[in-house]
Amino acid sequence: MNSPPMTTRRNTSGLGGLYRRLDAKHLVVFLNTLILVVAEWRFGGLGGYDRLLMALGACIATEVGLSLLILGRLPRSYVSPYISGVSLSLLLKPAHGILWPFALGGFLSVASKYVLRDKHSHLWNPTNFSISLLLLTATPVLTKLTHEWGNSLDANIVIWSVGALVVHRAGLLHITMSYVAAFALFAALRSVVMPDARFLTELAPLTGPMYQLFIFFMITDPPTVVRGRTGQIRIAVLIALVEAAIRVGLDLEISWLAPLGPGPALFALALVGPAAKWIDNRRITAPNS
Amino acid sequence: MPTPPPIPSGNWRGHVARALFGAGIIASWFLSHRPTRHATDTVLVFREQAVDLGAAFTHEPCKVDPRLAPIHPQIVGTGASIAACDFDGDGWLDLYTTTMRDGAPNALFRNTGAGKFEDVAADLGLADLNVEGEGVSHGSVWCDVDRDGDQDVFIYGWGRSRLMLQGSDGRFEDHTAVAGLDHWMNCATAAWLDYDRDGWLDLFLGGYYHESTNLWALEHTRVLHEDGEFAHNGGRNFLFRNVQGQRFEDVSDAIGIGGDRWTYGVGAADFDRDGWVDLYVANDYGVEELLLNQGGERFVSVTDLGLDAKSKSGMCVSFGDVTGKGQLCVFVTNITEQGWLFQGNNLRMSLLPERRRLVNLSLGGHGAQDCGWAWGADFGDLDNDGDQDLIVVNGFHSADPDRSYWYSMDKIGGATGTLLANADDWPAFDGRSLSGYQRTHVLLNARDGRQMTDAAEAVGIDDRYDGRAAITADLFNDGTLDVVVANQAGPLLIYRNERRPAADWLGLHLVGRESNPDAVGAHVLVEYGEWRQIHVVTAGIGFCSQTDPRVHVGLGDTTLHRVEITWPSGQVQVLAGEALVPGRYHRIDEPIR
Repeated sequence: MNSPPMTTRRNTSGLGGLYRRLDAKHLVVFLNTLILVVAEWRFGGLGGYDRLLMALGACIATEVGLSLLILGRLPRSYVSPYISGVSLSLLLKPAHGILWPFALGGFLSVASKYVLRDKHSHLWNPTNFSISLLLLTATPVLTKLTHEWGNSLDANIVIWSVGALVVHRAGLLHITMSYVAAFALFAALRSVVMPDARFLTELAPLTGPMYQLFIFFMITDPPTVVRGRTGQIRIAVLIALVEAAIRVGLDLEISWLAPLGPGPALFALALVGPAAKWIDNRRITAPNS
Repeated sequence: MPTPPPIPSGNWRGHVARALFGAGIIASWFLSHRPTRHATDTVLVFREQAVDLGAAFTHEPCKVDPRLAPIHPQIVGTGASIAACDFDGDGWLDLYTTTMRDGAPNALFRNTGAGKFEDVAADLGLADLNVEGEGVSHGSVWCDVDRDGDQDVFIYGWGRSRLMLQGSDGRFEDHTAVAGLDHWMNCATAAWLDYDRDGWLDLFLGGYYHESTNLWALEHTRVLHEDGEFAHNGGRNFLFRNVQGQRFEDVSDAIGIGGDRWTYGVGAADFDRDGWVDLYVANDYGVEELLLNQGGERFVSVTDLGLDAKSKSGMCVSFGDVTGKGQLCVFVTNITEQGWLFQGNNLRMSLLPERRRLVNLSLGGHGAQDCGWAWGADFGDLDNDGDQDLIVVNGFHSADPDRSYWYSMDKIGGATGTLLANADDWPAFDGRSLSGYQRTHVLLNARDGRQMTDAAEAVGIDDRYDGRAAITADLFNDGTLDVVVANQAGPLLIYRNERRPAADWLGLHLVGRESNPDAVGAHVLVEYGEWRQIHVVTAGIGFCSQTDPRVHVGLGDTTLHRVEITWPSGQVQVLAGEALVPGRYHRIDEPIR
């Protein structure tokens, strides 16, 4: 879902030292893979290795193809397409026996990095872009992960643990925590404001597997977050706010919001993230900024 | 990862990348919006005639504990059932259907043979069986329990179920306590089977809500499933051994039947052809299970067939043979709702005896995969063209057609189990529909089962009630299969097959002697033309249903070669095609050894 930042190596010893010496991008690859393996082994969460192969193959092939086409050389890293491929295979849930969403989703994820750009950065988190798009265009044949990993705490504990490690190592834990706190706050507000709403019901989505992947691996995508800790916290809260607004609209049964129902958080990020990045790009490059 | 540099403006390579990207977006729309194929060139015509035939009946849900009222449609989402049986032995199939409301009567529609039905349930003691707080009906399974030559019935449900034995005067008496079956459980399915081949039919019961749950007087509200895929807080299953028709002995623990899943469907057939009847179980919020019978001593769950690789919302188990190869197929319905959930139904062909495999035929664009929120299903050659077709009923809760509960349910659907299991944490339905107003699917077979095409509207089965139980049965003994549907909070529907009767079918009525009298568990292999078709005699199949106990085979324009019957006793009987005249029912008695 994300591409971790390059980090400075320090000479240290012990487990803590090993943890710090690990490049965050390698850590995220390892942990992303670990989640994949556990999800499939424990819950059959993939729904078939053919899905993983299709998504991974499409992502890597697109990365190679577009790198050759645009840059005239092979990619220098395959971390990003690997993570996108794994994430798509976990998050997309199409009708049984249909594989093309993984191929097309993989292509759109990676291609979005090359095509949907502003200055020197891409605007959308690649996986978020393709899943949001497919949830809108391919409604008849697919949806996103909900309960396919079961509803036990086991899965969440694994993801919380490894997710916290990854975002902490990447120095982005404050984004995750800000979003979670804001989601809980807005859930409380919605339970007060909306008729017949209960706090635990409104908080419930946050406890599902999809949200764990979202808060640890998608909203913390280094290339697409804004610069600066304060700005990142503000944007995380803004994403939660927009999501809360979408949820209020869905609770009020506003018909034109219905297509956003399967993934309010995904759509909130798809709306807020690129706009924030675009503004951030101008702040940075503006004279005297 | 270093982000790629920007595409230079005016660069042809950039134009190519953007064009491909745009094409991908457009492709995602067209690939997912391909029109579904519907059959239109069929000779089949059905006409709904329940009221005209004298079988007017409407299912009514029961009330439950007031704390469950906000999600009443979720709690009382089932209970409409249908069973076909010839209870009076006059050669005409009768129908028994259940309701749930306190004091509302179940109906036993006696088939007069003159194109009419009359409700005789009250006269025979089978009407007044729904008492909230004690027990309400969910379905019935019929057979000759005590081998006295008439049909008896077990009416299962939430709370206490009832074993009603038919006396010599045709009336039914409650033998539940005497038989040792007076248990409190929330039973959603049942089937008769002779697991130990002693000639007495034993009883499998599938539990849904946990047996400690009294839906009318809750101790707490944590009564729902703790998990959408791997729930283990459902009701336990039971197997009761029939001891000479006098009493039933709970052999569940001793024989390996139990579990804590939310069982909705069961079917009994000899999958591995070792002569001992096995059990195929469909669980809501859980995996399908194949329990192989080890010589009548123990049932062992098969773990190497991939059934536990994908968990769904198994609703019903139905048996048929859509391939024309003589291979038993098992159909399990699940939930599909565009944009929200794509579980897909499973149509598996058993290759267990030969290659220890089950092959899923309903993949990709197979017509049997997506039938909405599917419930009951039954196979049958509706057009007598020589292959088996499939009817599937669907729809969960039809209320306000413009308001959907799916978003609200999705809030809690992915949540951690503690929240999911607590009814208090579920959003109220508030008059909204949940996969409501769905149309029944009538899937016509293109000979080998690899593609089945929906022809429901073309053939006239176009109601949009919330279907639960569905059977195919020849109600008028004219060689064409009619369709009977029991709808949740809706009317009983009888679709009469108005295809012109012709001598292109064969009917077999099996009577066991050494085996149980109903021949439940018999496998019948019919060879005709280039085709082979396997049938299993069942007493409890589908979703809350019991289908026509007779074997009906459409022959098309082919010639019947032979019929091979494997009786439950293990005896194999072969009948030459010349001995069986097409276009009529034949009574086949089990030979005495």
